[in-house]
Amino acid sequence: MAGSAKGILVAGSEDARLSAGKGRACVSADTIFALSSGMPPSGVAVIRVSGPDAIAAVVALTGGSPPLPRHMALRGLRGADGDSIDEALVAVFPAPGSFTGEDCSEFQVHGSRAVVSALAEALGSLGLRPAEPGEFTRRALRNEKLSLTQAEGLGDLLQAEAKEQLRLARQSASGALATLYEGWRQRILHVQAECEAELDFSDEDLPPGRQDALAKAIADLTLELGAHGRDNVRAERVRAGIMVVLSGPPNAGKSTLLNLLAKRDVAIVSEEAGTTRDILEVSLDLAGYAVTVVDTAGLREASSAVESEGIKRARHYGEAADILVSITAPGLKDAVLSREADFQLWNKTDIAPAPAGPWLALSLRTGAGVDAFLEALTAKVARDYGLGETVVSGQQRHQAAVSDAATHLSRAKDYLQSGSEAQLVLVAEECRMASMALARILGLVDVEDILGAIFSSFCIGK
Amino acid sequence: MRTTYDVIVIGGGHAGCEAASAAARFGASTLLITHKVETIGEMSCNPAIGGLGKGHLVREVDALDGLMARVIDQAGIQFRLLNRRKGPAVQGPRAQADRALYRAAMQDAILGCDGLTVHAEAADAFLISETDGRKSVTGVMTSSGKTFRAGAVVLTTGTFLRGMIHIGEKTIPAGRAGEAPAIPLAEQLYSLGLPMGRLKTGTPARLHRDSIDWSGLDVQPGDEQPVPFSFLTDEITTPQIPCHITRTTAATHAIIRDNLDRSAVYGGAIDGTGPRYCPSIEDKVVRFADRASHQVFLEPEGLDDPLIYPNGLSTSLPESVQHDFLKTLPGLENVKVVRPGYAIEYDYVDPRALDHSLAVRDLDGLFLAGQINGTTGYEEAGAQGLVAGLNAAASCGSSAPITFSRTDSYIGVMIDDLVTRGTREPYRMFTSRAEYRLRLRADNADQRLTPVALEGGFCSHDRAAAFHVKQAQVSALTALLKDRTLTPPQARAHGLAINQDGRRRSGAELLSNPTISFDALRQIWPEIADFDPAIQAQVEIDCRYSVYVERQAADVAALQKDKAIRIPADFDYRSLAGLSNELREKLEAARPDNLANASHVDGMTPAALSLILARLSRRAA
Ligand SMILES: Cc1cc2nc3c(=O)[nH]c(=O)nc-3n(C[C@H](O)[C@H](O)[C@H](O)COP(=O)(O)OP(=O)(O)OC[C@H]3O[C@@H](n4cnc5c(N)ncnc54)[C@H](O)[C@@H]3O)c2cc1C
Repeated sequence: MAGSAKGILVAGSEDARLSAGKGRACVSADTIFALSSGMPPSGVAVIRVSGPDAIAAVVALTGGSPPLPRHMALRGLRGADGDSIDEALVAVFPAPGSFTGEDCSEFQVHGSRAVVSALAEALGSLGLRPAEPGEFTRRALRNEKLSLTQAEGLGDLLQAEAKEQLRLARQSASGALATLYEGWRQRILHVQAECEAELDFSDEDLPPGRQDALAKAIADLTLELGAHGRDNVRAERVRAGIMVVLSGPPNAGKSTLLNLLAKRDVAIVSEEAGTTRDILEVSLDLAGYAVTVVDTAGLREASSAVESEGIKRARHYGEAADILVSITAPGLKDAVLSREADFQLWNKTDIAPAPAGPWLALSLRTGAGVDAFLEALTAKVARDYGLGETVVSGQQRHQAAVSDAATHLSRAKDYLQSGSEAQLVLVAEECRMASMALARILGLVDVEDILGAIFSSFCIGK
Repeated sequence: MRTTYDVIVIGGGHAGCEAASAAARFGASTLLITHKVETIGEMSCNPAIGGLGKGHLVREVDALDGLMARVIDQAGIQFRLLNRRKGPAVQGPRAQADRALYRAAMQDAILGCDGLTVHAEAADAFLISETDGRKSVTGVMTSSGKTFRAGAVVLTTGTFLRGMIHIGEKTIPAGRAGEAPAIPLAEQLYSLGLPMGRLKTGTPARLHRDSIDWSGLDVQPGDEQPVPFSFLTDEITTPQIPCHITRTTAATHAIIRDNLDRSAVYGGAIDGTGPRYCPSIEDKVVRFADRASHQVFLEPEGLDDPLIYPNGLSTSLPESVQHDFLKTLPGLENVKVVRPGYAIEYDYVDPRALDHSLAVRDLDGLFLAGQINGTTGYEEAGAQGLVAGLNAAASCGSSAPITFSRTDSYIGVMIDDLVTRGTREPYRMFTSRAEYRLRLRADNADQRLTPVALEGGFCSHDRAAAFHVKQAQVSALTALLKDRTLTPPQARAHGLAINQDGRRRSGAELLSNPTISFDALRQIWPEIADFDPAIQAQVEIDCRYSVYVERQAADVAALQKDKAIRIPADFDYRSLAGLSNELREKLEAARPDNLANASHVDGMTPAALSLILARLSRRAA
């Protein structure tokens, strides 16, 4: 079963993720397995199994009864030919008390390529097959072990690089986000129901004075969703990585700064002006925030077509930056960008001191002033993107729907304020659209599209 | 005597009348079997047609050339457009009926209908044949043993299936007051394996007009200008009379509270589920204990009828208690009770056993409509009757089923709700059930549905002619309003407050702004006034809601996409590992035929939908 052995090795790799494309849902008549830990060689490798034969596989490979549910046991594993595979820590998780909600088992073996592929081959020969990307999570979703936003959070959790990304992902994975959205949805449905009562039971004698409560409920919701939407915009940056763009004339020291930040050589640094023709990026963890620092081509009159293309892109990045850092040095002309920089660095104080002005003076060669700059940058990131303990979402999909819902609610508010009874039906309509928007986040509608999109960005093994 | 027909309809109530006449209009030779000719078109309960949501159904039945709207236009003695101030999408025409006039007009329509024969007797059994393990209904046997054969049978027996009346501790087997229940038929349905349940509803006592002191009571007049139900009625000519309003008092509530254990509903005699929307007075007193008083409408049952229907006082308390509490309402101090109120419990068939044409899925040749499907109300019954009748006729001539969707009509919403979600309490229509209600209005029912009748060949000449004339006028006025435009400065010169953004706007666009009145446009373009006022009103509404209607069109398109994903009838939910038992049962009961319908099944989750989808794509592969 070379196929399955190959499968398990490729499964967790970048290639598999890219080639997975739009996830294809599958039904679990079959039992799946995958390498759930990092790529071998590694100290330990964890292979997870889920499906009707998950526990039988333990019996077959260990040649004895399975360990107590959710207890680890040390067992020898043997293939079909009787050859020993490895000594392994084995555990079983009978349904429904498992991650996927199906019978599951887990093998912790030594993390060598040889052991992992021998185990994969043995599982394959038992009729199990390698999992497809995201298949474990998909099964969990199907068995209602997870909600849609939890599944998304899980995806992010696996990709998180810095603490704040992790926090966002956890809020989603833990279900806090789903609770928040469902709570709003229920409140909107309540408002909608109030309108409907007014419309469908107007011939009954309804108690008077409900209009004011309705107006307040809509106003509150509009405010809350609005604020959440603004937080989400920041969270989206936190999730994707905050983009800090270095900009300035050639030779000002942009690449040196990037290298210094990255503490390794990423850009070609030379004294010859115009070396950085393309865009170079470095990802950093800045006090818990994932930050992408972008080094752009020096801004000047281009001397070649390639360089001029680089300069065009540099300008583009400069406009789009979350934080723009401009650098200049003695004797260089300031490059003009249409937006103001968040930090204006004056480099090469070892050659000449900074003139009067808003400069943050430093010398990248001696390191003088660099710490002060980093401190200021960190403070700004925390100030602009710190979200405290607020429950927020960094998913664009969520944000689009939240802002949709907020727009509908604010229209509902306007209609209600118009005071005309004829508009009440439109208040109800706007509320319906708002609750639909939130329902979409929670996966209650447009299910096929949402699932497809979510699973295509999923990694195998979890 | 002729014994073979294309279609047999059992039951001459509101569902049965529409079913029989629709089948006949479709061209099927049709037999209506009902207990008595004299009770054809009987209103079992409230003598009124229409209301919120229900009025939409009546207009839709009319647009499909059904009877109900024309009959109430002849029998209505007080017309009111409900929600007049709340915008056209939620306005509901309602009329009180003179019960005798209603019956007479309906009987005229039925007895005068070409291709329709009436046979007055109880139907006791279906004739069943079986081929390859599949059963089908091939005819009906009556209580005297006569047999009639047909290609399809529509069953519309209302509250008669094992009907049981409760008045306090007293129980009487009955289909409604004074009429025998249908027991053999119910037993056969059980034995055929149809999923059945028990529901209940109630009706108030009937009071004598002359025993009421009317002097101190509030008067509720009808509309100055009665708006007819039917698109074919020009004017209401029946005399109009007012209703009166009284209220329950603290004394009423005390008597009811003291006797709750003697109510059939509260004493535990009834286990069927009753409607939340149409609660008994016992229900109201218990559930809304903080309300000191409830409104009661005193509605005459007819112009010359001495009976008064006290709307809002449905009850199953013993007769003497009913009498005691009635006397505590202002104006009723000396009231004479002609007939006590009662609750009735009856069998219904879980409508998830039906498809969208109202055919029983597992029994060929049988269609169900009306209260038997778990609904309540004449309008709900009539609308289903029409659909079942058309489809019974279509199935005989092997024409394609005629089905309606949530996006084209309230009829579609109701049937979709019933067959995909089922119902746990008597189902009645509300405008809020229709997510596309800004499109699905009572005023444009003809534009939405008459083309369906024309295309299906079941539309009369008169209606076709009237429709074409109206349609031409609507198109002409719409074109005119799109053609006439104003620049913002011109609009300002006419006193219209719009953004001075340099954008020319058409008359139609101007109307989508709620602050601009149609009168203002009529002054600017006097040629508008050349059109019939009804046409003007129609076009104005279309323009006012156009923004929303367009937006909803996008929703509809998304729904259509999911609709295109078909789920085969033999789809095996049992083999879907990971589906909860509860949901599996619901899916097996509803057997949705496409993904959009599956998503409407009560308790549906995205996970379960993805499962179904996955299995479907595997089948397709
Ligand atoms: C006590 C009571 C209270 C109600 N209260 C309300 C209310 O408050 N609000 C509301 O909206 N609706 C109410 N309704 C419901 C309303 O009357 C029904 O929804 C509506 O009449 C149903 O129409 P249908 O055509 O399904 O049945 P029905 O109008 O009941 O007609 C059934 C017809 O079938 C005939 N029939 C039955 N069995 C046989 C047989 N075996 N052979 C031949 N003929 C048969 C009967 O003679 C009758 O003509 C009430 C009904 C009752 C009885």
